[in-house]
Amino acid sequence: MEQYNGTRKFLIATHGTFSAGVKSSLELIIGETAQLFILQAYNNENTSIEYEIKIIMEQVGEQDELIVFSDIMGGSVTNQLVQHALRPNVHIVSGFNLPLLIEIILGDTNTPVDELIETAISNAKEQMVYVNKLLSTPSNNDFND
Amino acid sequence: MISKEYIIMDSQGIHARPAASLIKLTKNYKSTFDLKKDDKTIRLNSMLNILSMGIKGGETIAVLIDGEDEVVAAEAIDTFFTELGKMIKN
Repeated sequence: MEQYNGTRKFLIATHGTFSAGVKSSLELIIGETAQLFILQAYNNENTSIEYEIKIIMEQVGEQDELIVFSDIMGGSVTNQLVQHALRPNVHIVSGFNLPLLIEIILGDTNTPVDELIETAISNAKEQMVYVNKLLSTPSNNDFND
Repeated sequence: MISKEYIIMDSQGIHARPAASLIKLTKNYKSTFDLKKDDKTIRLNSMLNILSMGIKGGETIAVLIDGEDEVVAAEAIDTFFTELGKMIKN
């Protein structure tokens, strides 16, 4: 994979204000994150997703890496990102959760981005747990926030 | 390599926010950091790695610091756990 010498940047793109809410949760846990954009699709009827993507992409240089977190695979937000943002230095991950965001944003910047994303997805999937079932197993009766 | 042991005094154990803070702290040093509980050791480069340890209040953990700046890094780890109200064992 090609190496980029710029900055690793992040975009959370969702239907409506989900991205702003997730950003709030993220900052509560890890503090303010530099180079984090959010896209709240359909929240402003006067602005198209395409235009919002364009404004964000103008702030991503050719040597930067952009990791995009979108809400639904097959949804219009992800589809528009694929259409208007995807290029060699842009990586789109759909169906994100908060643990995935934290793993990637706090990830080692020296780790190749594809390796970082694949490991984080694998670990973050394990965070989706039916807690009642977990608690019904005698050896797993504790959990932390 | 420096090894430091701590008893976790917080009844909530090490949860998301302190785990994330710990990861951010390690980024300030060149040393590598490992966290050990019982016979399990994880690299301190992932919040989910820490949470997977299920560290509860009252349990003892060890932090292993290895690298050229391990002395100052160990001091920072001490400060971190002290400020979080954890008991430094040695």
